Order: sequence, then structure tokens, then C-alpha cells
Amino acid sequence: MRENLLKISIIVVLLSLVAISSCIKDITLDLPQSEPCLVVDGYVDFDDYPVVFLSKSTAYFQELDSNAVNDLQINDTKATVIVSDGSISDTLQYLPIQRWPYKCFMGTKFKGELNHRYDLKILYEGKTYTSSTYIPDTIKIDTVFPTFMSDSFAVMRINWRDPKYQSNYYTIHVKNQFQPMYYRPYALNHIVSDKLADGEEMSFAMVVKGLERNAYYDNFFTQEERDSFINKLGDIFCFREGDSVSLKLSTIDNVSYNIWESWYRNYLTDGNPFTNPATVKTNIIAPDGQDAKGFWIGYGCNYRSVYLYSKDSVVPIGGKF
Amino acid sequence: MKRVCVYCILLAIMMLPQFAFAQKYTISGYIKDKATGEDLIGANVMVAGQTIGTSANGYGFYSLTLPSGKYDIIYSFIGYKDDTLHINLNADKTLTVHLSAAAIMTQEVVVSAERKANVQSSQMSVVRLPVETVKTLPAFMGEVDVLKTIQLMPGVQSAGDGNAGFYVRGGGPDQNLILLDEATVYNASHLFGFFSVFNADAVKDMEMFKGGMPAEYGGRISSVLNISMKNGNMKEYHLEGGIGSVSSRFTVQGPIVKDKASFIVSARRTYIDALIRPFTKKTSLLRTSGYYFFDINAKANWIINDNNRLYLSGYYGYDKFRFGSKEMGLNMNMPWGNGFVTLRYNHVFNNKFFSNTSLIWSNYKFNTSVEMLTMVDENAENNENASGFAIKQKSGINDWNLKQDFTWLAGPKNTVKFGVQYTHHKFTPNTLAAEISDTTLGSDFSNNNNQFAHEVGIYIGDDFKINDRFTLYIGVRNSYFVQVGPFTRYIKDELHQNTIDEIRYKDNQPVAFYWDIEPRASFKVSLTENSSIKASYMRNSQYIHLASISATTLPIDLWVACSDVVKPQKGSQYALGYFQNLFNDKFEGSIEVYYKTLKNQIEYMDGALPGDDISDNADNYFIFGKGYSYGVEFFFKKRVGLFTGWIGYTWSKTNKIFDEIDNGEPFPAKYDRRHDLSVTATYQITERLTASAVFVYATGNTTTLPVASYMIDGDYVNVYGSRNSYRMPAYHRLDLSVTYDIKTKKNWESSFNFSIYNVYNHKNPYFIYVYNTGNVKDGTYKTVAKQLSIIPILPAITWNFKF
Repeated sequence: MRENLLKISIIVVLLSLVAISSCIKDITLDLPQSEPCLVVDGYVDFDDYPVVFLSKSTAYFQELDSNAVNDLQINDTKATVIVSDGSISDTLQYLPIQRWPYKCFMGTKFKGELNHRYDLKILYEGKTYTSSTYIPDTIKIDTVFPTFMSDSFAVMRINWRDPKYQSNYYTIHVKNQFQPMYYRPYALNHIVSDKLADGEEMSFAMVVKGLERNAYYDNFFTQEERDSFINKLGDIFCFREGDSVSLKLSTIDNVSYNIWESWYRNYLTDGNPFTNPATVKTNIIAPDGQDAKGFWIGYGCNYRSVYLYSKDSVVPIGGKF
Repeated sequence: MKRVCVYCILLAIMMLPQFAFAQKYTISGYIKDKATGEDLIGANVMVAGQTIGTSANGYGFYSLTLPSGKYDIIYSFIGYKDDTLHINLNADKTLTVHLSAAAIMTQEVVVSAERKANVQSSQMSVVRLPVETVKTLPAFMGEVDVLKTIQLMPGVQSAGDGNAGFYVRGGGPDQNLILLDEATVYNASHLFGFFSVFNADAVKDMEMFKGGMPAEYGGRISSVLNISMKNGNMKEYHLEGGIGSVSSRFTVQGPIVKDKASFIVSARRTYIDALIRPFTKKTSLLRTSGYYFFDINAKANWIINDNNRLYLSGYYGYDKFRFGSKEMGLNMNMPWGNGFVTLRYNHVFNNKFFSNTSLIWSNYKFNTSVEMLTMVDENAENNENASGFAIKQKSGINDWNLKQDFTWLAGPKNTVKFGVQYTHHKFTPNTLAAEISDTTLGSDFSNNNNQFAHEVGIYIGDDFKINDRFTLYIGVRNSYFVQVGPFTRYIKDELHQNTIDEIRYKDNQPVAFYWDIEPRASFKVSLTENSSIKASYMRNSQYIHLASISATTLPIDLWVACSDVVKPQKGSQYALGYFQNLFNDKFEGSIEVYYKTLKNQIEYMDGALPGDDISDNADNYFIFGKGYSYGVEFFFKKRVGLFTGWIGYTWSKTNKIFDEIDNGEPFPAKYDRRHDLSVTATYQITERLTASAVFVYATGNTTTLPVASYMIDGDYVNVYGSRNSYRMPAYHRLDLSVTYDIKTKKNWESSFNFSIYNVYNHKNPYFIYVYNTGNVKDGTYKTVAKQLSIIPILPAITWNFKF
């Protein structure tokens, strides 16, 4: 009897397992419609001209192709962008840029300076949107050097000293000689605070090639790369002998850190049913009755670049390239 | 203070009449099962032809005081044949009565006194379920579950498959006081709610208060679920158990000294992991990964003499989830569980005065360890050096509890309960340690910021029958809570990012102190012999919170005590009900409405993540708000005959208000549920064959989903709709079961139970998730919504035996 029971039990358990494995199904969600609102993606780097991208938000299940996404962009015929450093006002020009969507509003009159506040004003559809940001004092990178994981692949290490008795917030970006002008966030979470290490030597070893957030439009990885992701992990993420690598350490103010942190939390909670969803914070002030998303951030940048001549020889090549 | 005085005066007035009556005598003693010697908790004692009576307390003790004279006293209990004793009452008498269990719960064995209890008692919003009823209903994977059955009653709702908690009248899962032999059970379920920790073979009785909580219970604001374990057979040894497709259980019980002392030990284990292992390859992940739970209940009691009795009971149970293999270089272990030991001493001072003293230790812990093994050389004989990096996480609660309860059975119309309870809490919030090989990493990873607290409750309550129509219960509880050091408070900057200061409290230095006066009252008016109206009010304070980071209730949820930042939860509930018995008490029905307010509720901040509280106070990541709930509950039950069952329906609405969420607008709680329907039916087809069915329907749970997206820094970002604004599809399912009793030999009973869970394989949503794939450039970008359902149709077979 017991043997029979055991057999029956095993069959029941196996049937159950089979049944359990097929419980995910596609569904159609009937979500409330949300009105498109202005999205600002703007920054001013130390020693560089202000840059602002403008677009509109879209319904979550809106089907998107190149045309639809391009239609979401807001150009200089629809909006005027003005940046002020307190004394000079610069109406930004709509100029080409080496990154999708290949055009942006860019300043021409002044470059960002340390310990300066910059006010942003956007005139769009007859309404005025404003924001303000601050470029904190820069913190110098002490060293940048590679750690070779194998004979051919290396990750970069960056070191700097955090000033004690003050709250400091950083972002780390990276690029190599093959990448376009843009420094990429060094990892998904490219922000650092001295929350746990005030006044300590800061050291981050996982500065790899950087994540291309532009995957939304132009996938960083090809399908083949995705398919053989593990095999090509080194190629995708690590640097090789012969690479020139530049690291960008930026100080940001606490408002900007809070925004980036909410962005990071939004990413981590996206589609995750085991957490509360996180809303990305914004420092764009919309007029009454309107909504706005996005941010306007000042970066106190410091650059350090090296040439990985060989495993045993790393040549400093200055700052930004 | 004014409120305290009013209550004291009211209580004093109610107790006064005892002293005014003439010469009376008292009958007292215990009511027990004839065959096993088990105490019959809640058994009724009535004077024939009158409406005077009482019921046995939680230890089977009763006391009835009457004027001298001759009486027929009827002793009765659900599922037992009643016993009538003719008594010439001219002196105090001690009478221990043994009732015989009835083979089938038919009409004859339930006397009318018993059947009218729901109409005649002052208590409302109470659920009592005999374990025998629970055992006849279909069981998930064949494992009879008292907690799941309770969730079929109106006002008590399950959050759906895979959710450990249950929700009572809009209250959260942490707001239910779950007691097993008086010990607090913090985690009442195994495997994320699929099984409860209460082994039905070891359970004797359970009752739940959804509202109108008597004053002896406190510390939770929504409900009390009080479960008593069996004492063990006083007469003879028995072994019973069940062998099922996923688990087995065994119970052994018997006398240590016949009629003086007995014991019971009951254990369970699931063995899906062990069953699968032989069918897997050596290298398969299934071989090295797996899940099981184990629990054991044990109890011994000793009747020292008629006036003194000692109980020692204990429970230990844990779940263990293991994932990974040497080949993967990963080894993850996740054990969690509860344990408690209770020592109780009953003393009867005299036939009107009963006392119980309890000393309870209880413990809950949740651990996780993840080891990243360094790559192993498969050819090497000795892989001892395989250890690499390990992270260990621990959280838990440790309580010591001392209780002194007195029952003064002042008269047939008046029962007074009073007492004092003291609890010492130790809460361990998430504690992390990291190890490389055998070296534990520095203090950056460890955070032993335990919370220590003392909690005291003093109470008095009086159940007073004013006359045949009116009954009043009035009680008051006075609770105190103090958090003491050692403790470190981390002060955050205004953006809540950096710790800018620390306050260190020394050992026993007070950190926070709270107290409250908690009035409780119930009132009954009989309209006819078979119908009544009842009203109740309760106000409760709760000094602990369960912080749930996820949309579901999981063991990773964190218990935290009140502190200088976290204030006590406060709940007030008003309830009104109409109770009616029909057709000679074969049917009972009720309608109850309630309104409840909740204050000092907590939620994690927007986007809080597990691990935020490392080197920090967990409560630095909470936001605080309030809530309210109202609803109406319908209950209709056929309780005798070959066909029995009930229909329960609840309409309710539960909202929360937090300044930080949706600009302070009310939003539905995640367990807000408009409709909740449960139907159960049991039919005794033949003497040996019983069939039963359960159907449940519930409005879908709420969730928060993105409604828009935008692009920034080259990536898209979601814009979420207002909190819990999306409602998932409704939950419904039908379960069936058939039990066949195999021909019984002398001293040997056995039965087969075949059950099917979710008969029509309805894909009930566990959660909904959305994601996007492809890219815009080649036109493959799209957003997809998926629904995960976790329990399909599940048959189970169990063989139960007893000898």
C-alpha cells in the first residue's frame, strides 16, 4: 500500500511541477491615459557649455518606432531655452551633437564654472518652466590604474580622497578612444555618496567600459553579443591592452544626488513586484496646472586618462580626451 | 485621566451587585472529554429551563453560582453528547464532568443552549471553528490548515496565493495577535503562506476576535487568533498521522501517569526536495537546491491536585530554502522560523477564583547566507579551500513574557477577568556580516543596532448580564511601552542621505516611552429568543510594526518596535451586528457593519530597497500615515445535519493616507477589497464517505503600475500612476475533496483524503509585471505586461491513520 502511495505521490508531485512551470501569461492592461508633459535632460559641466535636450513623455504602452520617438523631441521651433549665470543670459542654440538624437540646445556664451549657480528657463507652448543647479568645487582624482583580470582584460580602478566633515556626492563616468564624445556612467549606479566613508580614501575598482544608456534607441549590444553574453563578458565590459581610457569624476550637489538616486531606485524597482515603485525626482518647476519631468544638473568635473600600453606599463595621458 | 475614572466607576458599579445577593452556592470544576481527558474549552453549562449559564474558560474550568435549590444542569459542547446532572445545591460543590464525543455531528448532539450561544453572548465579531470542521474541508496539498479555514470567514481575508499574512477588517497582517498556547507567533506560515505553522493534529481549539476584543488581549489593533494545543490523552496511548504527497505528519500522545499527567508530540515535514532528488542528475541544480519545512509541537501537563495544574508546551518550526551548487560557485541558504516554550500554572483559589500564571519565551528569526565559492578544480580531491566570499544576514525577535491572569466568576451573571502582562522584547533589525574565506570583514558591514523594549499591560474586564435581554461587557486595558538602550540613533541630513550625528543610549537608558488607556465595550440586546442586536467598541495600541518592502507579505518583512521615531499604532473600531438563528437553530445568520480607524501606520519610503538600513536605523526609511476601513459582513451557516456549510460575504473599503504619497490623497490599501465571498459545503454521503467543497471569490488586489514613460540621459524612465490605482483581475477558485474512511478495526482507524485545489485551473494573479524589449531603431521596441500565477490545479492525496 505504502509503495503504491509513494508512486502516486511522486506522480502527483511531478504533475504539480509541470503545471507550476506554465503560469506566466501575457495580459492587456487597461491603464488610464496620461497627458504628455515636458521632459528636460539638461546639464552644465565645469569648463563646458550648457547642454539641454527637450522632449515629451509618452503613454506607457505607446508603440514606438524611430518616427514616433523623433516626434517626441522638442526643437527650437517649439521651445526657447535660456541659461543664466546670474549676470549673463545665454539663449541656447539648437546645434548638432555626436549623440542621438544628434541635436540639442547648447550654450555659446559661457562655460560652467566651479562654485557657481546656473538658472534655467524654458519657454514652451506659451508657458515658462524653470530650474536651478549648482556646480560644486571639484575633487581631484588621485590615481587611475588598471587591474588585469586576465592576460588581456582589465578593469579600471579610480581613487580619490573624500573631504571630511562635509557631505559629498559624486558621479563617475568613463570612456575609451572608440567611444563618441560622451562619457558613459561607469555602471548602472554611477553615483557615490560619502555616507559610509566620510573623509576616507574612496576607491572604486569596477570602473569598466561603461553602460550605454542609449539602448532605448540604438542598442549598445548587438543581438549576437546578447546571445553570447557570458562568453563575451570580458570583451563587452573590460578594457584591453592598447586602450586609452578616460575617467571623469564629478561632484554634484545634494539635490542632484537625490535625483540620480531616485533614478537608480526607479531602475531597480522597474517591474519588480517585490518593492514599492520609485518615482524619479525632478528639479524642474512647472507652471500651475502643468507637469514636468527631468533634471538640470551641474557637474564639478575632474578628468584623468591613461593609455594601457601593456599589462605592466600604463602611461598617463592627461585629462579629458 | 477623566476617561480612566469613568471606566473605573462603571466597572465598580457592575461588580457591586454580587454583595447584595442572598445565600448562594457554587458548582465548579472542569469539563473534559471522556475518552481522552482533554479539557473542553468553551463548553457550556446551563440550568435547564432557565437562561442562566456559563462556559468553561481556556483551561476547561467552569464555575456557576446559584441560590440553594434543586437544579438540572446541562453540560454541552459542539460535537459532544450533552450530559444532564440533577443537583441538590445546598453547599459548594466541585464537579468535573466528562462528555462523550458524538460520532457524527448531527442535530441531536447539539443542545439548544449551545446553538444559541452566537445570539445570546455579548461577544460579537467572534469566530470559533472546531478543528473537526477544518479537517472536513478541502486542504491545499492535503495539509489541513486552520489558518486557511479562518480566512473563509467574512471579515478575514487572505491576500491570495503565496501571501503569508491575513487581513482582518482592513488591518494589516502585523495587526493580528496570533497566540499558540498563549505564546505570540510572529510568523504563522510556512512557504510564503502556502501552509500554516499550526499542525491540525495538535490543535484543540481556536477562536478569533475580529472586533470587540476583550481587555485581556492587547498589543495588536485588529484581531486576536487564539489557538490552544491539545493536552495529550490522559487515558491511553495513541499514534496518529498522515502520509501525503508532499508532507507527512505524526502525533503521539498518552498518559505519563494515568489521569494525572499526559503528553503529546506532533511533528511534520515536507519532502518535495527528498522525493525529487533520486530523479535528478548528480550535477543538477535540483539536487543541491530545494525547500522543506519542519515543525514540532510538544506539550505535557500535570494535574497536581484539583486546585493546581502545570502545563509545559513548546513549538519549534522552520523553513529552509537552499539554492545553488558547487558548479555554479554559489550557495544560498535561507532558513527562517519560530520557536517558543510556555510554562503555565493554573491555580484554583476557591470555586469562584481561578488564576493562571504563564512564563513564555518566544523567538522568531530570519537568516540568509549567500556564499560565492571560488572556482573549484573538479579533479582535485580536496576542495576545502573552495570558500570565497560570504554574506550573512540575520533578523529576528526574542521575547520573554510573564503573565498573571485572574478570573473571578462572581456569579452566574457576572464574570470578571483581570491581570497583568509583562514582555521584554529584543528586536534584531537586518544585521549583515561579510566574510572572505574565514575572515569576517570590519564593522562597516555589521550593524548590531538591536532594539530592547519593555511592554506592560494591566487589564480588567467584566461580562455582566443585566437581565434576560441585556448583556454588557466592559473592560479597560492600560498599556505601557518603553524602549531602552543600548541603542544608537543616526540623525540624517535634511535630504535623508548622510548621517550627520549620532545619539548613543547606554544600557537601560530610556529611548522612548509611550502609554495608552484602551477601553473595550460590547453590548447585547435580545430581540427574541432567536435574535439579538450587538454593538461593540474597542481602542487598541500596538507597539510593534511590520515593515513590508514588497507588495506581498514575505519573510523578508521586518519587525520593528516603536522608537523615538516610530510611534505606536492606534486602532479604534466600532461594530454593530444583527444575529438571527432560524429553523430551530439549524441555521444561523448574522450581519455586521464596522468602521475602523488606524493611526501611525508605516510604509517604506518611495523606492526603498532592502539593505538601506545597513549601518543605519531601519525606521529612518519609513514614512508615517493613517488609514480607515469600513464594511459590512454577511454570514449564513447551516451547522447540523448531513449537509453543513456556510456562506460568508464581505463588502469593504480600506484607504490609507500618507502625506508623502499622492500628495496626501487617500489611496487604497494593497489589501483593499470590495467583494469577498466564501462558500463551503460538506456532505456526508454515507457513513464512510464525505465530500466537501470550497469556493472563494475576491476582488483583485491593488498594485501600482507605470502609466507613462519618458527618456532621459539616453534611457527611458517610468512614470507611475497613483499608489495602488490598478486593480488586478479577481481571484477565484474552487476546491473539492473526498474523504473515505476505511473499515475500522478495533483501535485502528484510517482514511484516504483526495483533494483537488483550484479545480478549474483558474490562473489567479500573484503579481503583474511590465517590461520592454527590442529597440526603437529597428522598430522592435515594445512594452509587455505579464501576469504570474503560482498555483494551478493541484491534486493531492493523503492517507490518515490513528490507533
